[in-house]
Order: sequence, then C-alpha cells, then structure tokens
Amino acid sequence: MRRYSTKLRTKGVTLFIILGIIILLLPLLLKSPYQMHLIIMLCINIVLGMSFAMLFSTGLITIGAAAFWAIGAYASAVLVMNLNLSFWLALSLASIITGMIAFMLGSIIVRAPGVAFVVQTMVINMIVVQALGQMEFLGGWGGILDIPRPNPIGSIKFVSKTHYYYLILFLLLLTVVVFYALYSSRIGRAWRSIRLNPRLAQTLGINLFRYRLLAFIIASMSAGLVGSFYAHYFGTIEPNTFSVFKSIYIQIYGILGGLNFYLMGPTIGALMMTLVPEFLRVGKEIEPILTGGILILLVIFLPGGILSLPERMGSLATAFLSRIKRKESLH
Amino acid sequence: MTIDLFTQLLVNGLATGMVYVLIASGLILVLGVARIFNFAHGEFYMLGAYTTFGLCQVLKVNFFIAIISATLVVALFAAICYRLVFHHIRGNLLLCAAASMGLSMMFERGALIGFGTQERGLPSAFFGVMTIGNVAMPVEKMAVILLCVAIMLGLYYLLMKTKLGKAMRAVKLDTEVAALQGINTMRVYALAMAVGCSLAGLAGGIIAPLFSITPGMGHAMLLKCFMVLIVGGLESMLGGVVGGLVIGMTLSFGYYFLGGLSEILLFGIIGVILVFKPGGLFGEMVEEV
Amino acid sequence: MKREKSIIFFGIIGSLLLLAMGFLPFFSLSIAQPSKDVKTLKVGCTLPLNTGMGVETKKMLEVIVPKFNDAGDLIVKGQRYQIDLIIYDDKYSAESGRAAVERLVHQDKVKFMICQIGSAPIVAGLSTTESEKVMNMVGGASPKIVSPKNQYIFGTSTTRTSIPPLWTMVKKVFPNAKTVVFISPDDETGRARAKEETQVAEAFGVKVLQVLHYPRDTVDFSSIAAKAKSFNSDLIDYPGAVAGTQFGLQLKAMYGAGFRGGHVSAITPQMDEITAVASNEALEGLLCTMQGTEVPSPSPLAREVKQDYMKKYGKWSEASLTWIPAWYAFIQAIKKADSLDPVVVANLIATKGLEWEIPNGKAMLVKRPDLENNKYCDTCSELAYAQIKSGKLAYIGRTSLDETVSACEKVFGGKWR
Repeated sequence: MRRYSTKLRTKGVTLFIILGIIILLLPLLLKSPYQMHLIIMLCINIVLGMSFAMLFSTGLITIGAAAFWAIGAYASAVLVMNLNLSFWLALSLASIITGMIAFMLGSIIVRAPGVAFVVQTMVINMIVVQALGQMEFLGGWGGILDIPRPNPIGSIKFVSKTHYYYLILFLLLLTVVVFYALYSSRIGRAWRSIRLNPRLAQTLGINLFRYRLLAFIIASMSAGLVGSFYAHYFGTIEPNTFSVFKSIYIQIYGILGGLNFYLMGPTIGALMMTLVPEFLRVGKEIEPILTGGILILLVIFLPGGILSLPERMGSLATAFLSRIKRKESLH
Repeated sequence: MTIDLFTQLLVNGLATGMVYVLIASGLILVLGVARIFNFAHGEFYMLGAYTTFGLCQVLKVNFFIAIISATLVVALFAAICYRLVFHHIRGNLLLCAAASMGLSMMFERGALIGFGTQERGLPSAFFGVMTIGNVAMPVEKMAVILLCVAIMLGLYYLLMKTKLGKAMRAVKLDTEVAALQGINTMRVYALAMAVGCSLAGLAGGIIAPLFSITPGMGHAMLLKCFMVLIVGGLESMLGGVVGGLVIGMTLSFGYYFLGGLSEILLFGIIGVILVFKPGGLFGEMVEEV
Repeated sequence: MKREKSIIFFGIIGSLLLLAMGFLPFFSLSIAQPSKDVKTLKVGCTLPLNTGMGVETKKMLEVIVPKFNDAGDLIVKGQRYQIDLIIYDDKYSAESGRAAVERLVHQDKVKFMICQIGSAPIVAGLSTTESEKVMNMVGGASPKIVSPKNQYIFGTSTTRTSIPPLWTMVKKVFPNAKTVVFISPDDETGRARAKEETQVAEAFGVKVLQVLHYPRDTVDFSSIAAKAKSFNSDLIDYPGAVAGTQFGLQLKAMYGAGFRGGHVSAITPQMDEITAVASNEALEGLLCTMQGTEVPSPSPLAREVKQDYMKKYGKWSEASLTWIPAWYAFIQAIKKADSLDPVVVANLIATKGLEWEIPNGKAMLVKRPDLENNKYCDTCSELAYAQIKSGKLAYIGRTSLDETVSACEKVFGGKWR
C-alpha cells in the first residue's frame, strides 16, 4: 500500500515538472502571436473563473464577476491615462480599488443568502455596464482607446506577446498561490463548512457574513487585478465586453471544469470555452451551434465537470474488472 | 400631462407589461417546478413568433388558430428538449443553467441560419383606434392586454384547480415528498417545461403583429425577463405579475419623461426594492440554491 | 447505466469530430486551385455573422469575389493574382473581433483587410493591424477610427459623409422646415451620428429641438414617439438607426402618436422589412438615400452586381450593399499602386487619394480636417435619394461626387479634397 502511494507521488511530481517546463517555455514552442494571444486570454479567463469558484466555495453563486473585472480595467486605465501613474502602481491600486468597492457592495448583498444573492450580483453587473456606457467621461459606449502599454522594466518593453504572457503568467501563479494558501488554511476550511451546511457552520461559531464577505472581496480583487492587465494588454476597453453574458460564461468555466475543484476546475473550463470556439472557426456560421452542442454534451455526460473523468474512469475500470472477476469465478 | 397622453402611456405600459408577465410566468414555472434556470427561454419566445409568422403568412391560417398551433408546437419542442437534455441533469440548478446556455447558443444561431436574415413582420389582426369618452386607445394594444389577462387566468385555473397544477405545486414544494405521494415527478418536470416554454411561445405569437420578428429577439427579451424576476421574486407567480407590470409601466412612463435614462431609472427602482426586500417583492429568503 | 452512457458519450464526440472534419473542405472560401501562372493574394475580413447585415455582406462578397477572380483582372507588376478572401466571425464583440484579427494577421498572414463593420471589433483589432502594418479598408463608421494617429486604416462606407448632402435634399423637399427632433439608439454609433447630424442640421438652418436616445434593443417605441411628438417639430430624423424592422417600428409609432410632419433618414430602409411592420401611411414621405441598383437608370456595375447576386440567391430583397465599397476601394488601390506592399499602397492613397467605382456611382477618398486628419482617410460618394410614396421608394434626385464633397466641406469645414 505504501509503495503504491509513493510511486504515484513520484509520477505526479514528474508530470508536474514536465507541465511546468512546458508552461514556462510556451512562447518558444508556440511561434504564432495568434496562439499566444489565445493563451493570454485563456489565462485571464482562468483567473476570472477562479474568482467565481472562490465564491462558490462558500456556497455563493455570482453572475457578476465581469463587473469587478470592468472596475479593475477602467480604474487602471483612468489611473494611468488621467493621473499619469505608472502601470505597476496602477495594477495594485486597481486591485485595491476593486476590493474597496467589493467591500461596500458586499456588505449590503452578502447578507442575502442563496437565490437573492445571485440576483443582486446580476443587477450589479447590469448597473455597472449601463453606468459605464452613459459616462462620456469614460468614453461612453465606445469606451477608452489607446490605453498605454505597461511601463518598461529595464529592457522589457512589452511590445511582443511573450512579455505580456510572462506577466499574466506571473499574475495567474500569484493568484493560484494566494488562493491555494487560503483554501488550505483555517479560512478555507471555514468556507468549505459554510458551503456544506451553513447552519451547522454557524453552530461551530463561524461568522457566515464575515467569511463570505472575505471571499467576495478577495475574489473581486483578483478579477480587478486581471482587469488592469486586460486594459493595458488589449489597448481598448468598452462596456459591452463586461456584460452579464460574460459573467455567465465565467460561471460556465467553473461548472465545466468541476465545481469541486476550485483551482483546476476553472482552468479546464476556461481552456475548453476559450479554445474550442477558436478551433471551430472553420465552421464559420455554425460555430456557436457546435460549441453549444459540445457544452450540452459535456454537462450531461460529465455532471461533475471534466475533472470528474478520472474518477468516472476509475469507477468504470473497477466495475469492469469486478465483472470479469465474477465471470472467472463462475467458471 | 393630458388625459389622452396619460391613457396612451398607461395602455402601452400595460400591454408590454402583460407580455413580460406572460413570459416571466413561464420562466418562474420552469424554475420553480423543474428547477431549471432557463437561459434559452427567450429562444422559445422567438420560436413562437416565427411559427406564428410561418403559419399566418405561408399557410394563410387565421391568426388565432396560428397562435394556438404555435403554442402547441413550442410546447412539444420544449418537451423534447427537456427529455433530451435536462432529464439527465434534473435537479441540479447550475448544470441545467449551463445546458440551457448551450441551447440558447444553438437556437439563436440556428434561427439566423434557418429562418434567414430578413426580419419579419405580421399584419395585425386588430385595426384602428377605440374611443372611450374622449380618449383614444389603439385596439391592438387593448387586444394584447385582454389576451394576456385571459391566459393568466387560464394559468391560474391550471395551477390551482386541476390535478396537474396541484402536482406541479407539490413538486415545487418538495420533490421527494411529492414522489412519495405517487406523483410521477419525471412527467411533471417535462410538463412544467412544456407549459412554461409554451407561455413564452404564446407571448411571441401575440407580440408578432405588434413588433418585429428577428432571430435575436429572444436575447433582448431575456434581460427584461430577468429584471421582472428580480423585482417580483424568483419563486412567486404573483411576483411575476407585479414585477412585469412594474417594469412595463416604469419603462413606458420612464421613456416619456427621461428618455435614454429610463434604464437607469429602472435600475434605481430595482436597487431600492432589493435593499428593502433582497429576495424581490414576493421573494422568500431561501438558504439553498 | 453509467457505462452505457460513457460509451454513448464517446461515440457522439467521436462522430461529431468526424463530422466536423468532413465539413472542413466545404467551409473555406478558397476558390479552385489557381494555375501555375496565377498567384494567390490572401485578404482578411471579419464580419458579425450573428447579425443580418454581417451575413448579407458575406453573401454579397461570395458573389463578387469569385466573379472577380474568374475575370482575372488583377495584375500587379506583370503577375496575375487571384484573391483568397478569408472571412471570420467577430460576433460584433471586441473579444471575438480581436481574436479573429490576430488569427488573420498572424496565422493566415494577410496583409490586407476589408469590410469590417462594427466599431467594437475594428477598434479592438486596431492595435494589431496598425503595428503589423496591415492595410485595413473598413466599413464601420466611428470618428475614432479616422484619427490622425492611424496610418493604415481607411473608412470606406458613406454612412457618415452622406449626411451633409442629404440635408441639401432636405432643404429642397421640406423647404419650410425649421425644427427637427432626433431619435437615435443609445450606443456608440447612435451618439456619434446624433452629434454630427446636429452640426449638419444647424448648418442648414434647422434647429434641433431635442435628441432622444433609446436602448439598442427597444421594440416598443410608443412612449418615445409620444415624447418626440410633444415637441411638435417639423421633421423627425433618425441618426444611427439600423435599417431593418426596428426602423419601421419607429415610423409606425410616430404615426400612431399623431406625428404628420416629415421624416428624414440617412440610411436606405430595407423596404420589405419596414412595409411588413408599418402601414403605407406611416411611411409616406420619408426622405432617405437610395441604392445605386434601384435608381431609374442604374450604372453597368450596379446592374451587374444585382444580376450576379440574383443568379446565385434568387431574390434581391435582403441584399445589402452598404459595406461593400471597401472591396472596390481595395482593388483600385492595389491597381493604382501596382504593389502588394501594404505600406506602399497605404502611403500612396493616404497622400495622393483614390477614386473608384461602386454600385452607387463614383467614390473618392477624402481628408477629414474637422477630425484633424489631413491624410485621405474617409470616403465620399455619389448619392441617390428617394421618398417613400405609397409604400415604395420613389427616386427624387442625386448629388454628384463634387456636390457631396462640397456639402461636407461646407458643414464641417476645411478642404476635404
């Protein structure tokens, strides 16, 4: 038994190292800037998915993640373009501003549990989009153009996609590390217990409101962080990018990957929803029909998400093996 | 503000409001009984409109017969969708939501490809203007209001007095206990979906002569529908009625007084309602989703 | 039960993949293999294939480009070229638009792009097309696109520049009109058009009493119409309206609210669509532009395009020529520069201008000194006008290219030629 688990662990570590090397050297393997663009957008979507997952880990479902993404993006653009701050300062400030707004809004809405919360996040999203569209100062419906690139560090000038890739990779890993630390800590355990049974968690002395609010703020801050990156990478931002439909897509990233996997789940989900439509570009007009169809099939056949596949394969294998054994024993 | 103008705005608000009520009721029914947050609901509305158009213009069928047939077609189609897709993931709200999103993508693009790019319109079955006292009201809007009220009454009867309605309400309260009572929950889910989506299809048929028929009409309607649910509460039929009327009236009077800022006004009202009643006007604070 | 499900699952995925692969050859827009002495020039295009206008533009290009290739007309430096037009769906959004542009520029390695429509996708892809020096003839209209900073992008549709000449017609058709109310969608195009048309109207001595914006998806215009009617203006104008049934609903609502004044619109209404929703009385007298294929004596090019389109698709009623000028401009630019280097071509036409023919007649590149751009960056063309009489478009006149440009210069100022 013990030998079995060490073997598995070494295998896991080797796999991890190989994956790590591939990820770090990706720009060398993928020559096309188009593919790098997809990977960069993928990383942004992964972080957004993880922000949804963090809230889900406390039992809260949000359809408003895109609103905080928007706040981070617009805040960063304004800080750099109107207040002439350096991008690096704006990056942190945008995240903090998003966190503060999340604190204010969260204090009001986190008290309302379940269904009411979902609805309120949707309203926040709609209000944010509408407000951004009406404010001519922020470019109205056309949005903000010509957002400057990040200030150069030394010789790294952020012209090629490679530089942006390493930056978003750094932000992604930062988010993963922070989230993992939180999930493994007492806070993460509190979140999980709240998700499993809020009443019971309360009897253990866990303050639902405080822990949920914390999750809300941290999730929104991560969305704001990538919002700032997005603004300076994309070069232009407009309100309709941050609509409720984007929030619903973010939710799907979480669902597809597996709702029980707070870090890997959104990764796989975002991978599927970002890359599959691009692969299916050959389908021209019918691409959404194909993507929709694949989405439905995955949801039906893998209700636990794509990451439940090993489990299913495992149970499939054991079922198959036990059937064979039974047949053998009959002879 | 003349009495003429006021009645005009009132009638407009009631007419659009009642249509929102109809569609939202379908959504609430599906959500409450079958536990599906149907993001494709707008597409059934669109389907109803196109089917009515096809029957009226191509097969030259009488408008009322066309609407009834369109409703049945949409109901059947919804039942098939349920059996193929939602049946396997029933009970799980999030999965059903994701699947309905997939359906929405398929239907919208499918409609554009299948029905063509030309936007359609239907000539109205009701003409002219009715005068009561010295106030003029367009007949077609009054007809819409009356039709919608009649259908809502029919829905009330269905839910309160018939066996199926009682079964639906039982399933909504508690699925397991309902099953213990001998109610075939699978069939109830499918029927709820059929009835709910057919309400949307019916609304599409009713609205077809009033407005236009385009492949994207479902999308725009869906957002308004969500707002109705937000205002009225997601679980209550009465909430749907009140919510729909509130939204319809706010938009009607709001456009007149505030022009483009009417949407902001709407959000403001929704915001105020949510602060005092987070679950919506008739919503319940349920812990679980 | 689980095992059967998994088998079905993999079976379906497998067959879907096979199906998709089987469809691959049918979905590319490539023409038949060119012969040895003909080379291929790849040209990119992104269109909102989730909208009617995007699909119609694609259908129109699928008629025009193969015919052009068959004629074998493109000869640069003695070498004959065929055009391989690659069209991707930008879903009218910034994200999809940017991904499509990235793919066209970096994967398909196009050096020229044409016919993009929505300003969100165009602006999203702008940084890429400019930095990679891809010449982009766009259809979409937005002042931000013709900013002087941009070197390789040119606006080729006449939706903006048709407004001043339209108003010369307004003065002829409605000589006593003194006031106007604008009804315009609350999106970027609507707001920009409303601002521009305000300037135009006032330059022609008509006072703008109010600008009303409606949310983009509105179908119920009764309240807005009631409000618009309350100003009792002589005219109603519809800047930025979309040509389909929504426009018809606006006219219907205005009639229903009791407005009996004049209607003006810079777009060409889609007659089939608006007559389906509005009565003839509601539409009567609308002053609008007319497509070059519908005028009493259409040009040979207009007749040819209409014929070819009807040969492939049967009926003409859904066709849209609004965004096609980019294609003709592109071909003419290549011929004028006799080069396939986008930098050379772009610089040439930006400094020396370009004249070409479209189904509406003659077109030319103009400068936009009012937007501080003294390069040739935008387009004016001959225009035809019509009024709706008894549910049909009746031709009432045209402005020559000269008259069009002069009208623009008069209103916005500066030398456009």
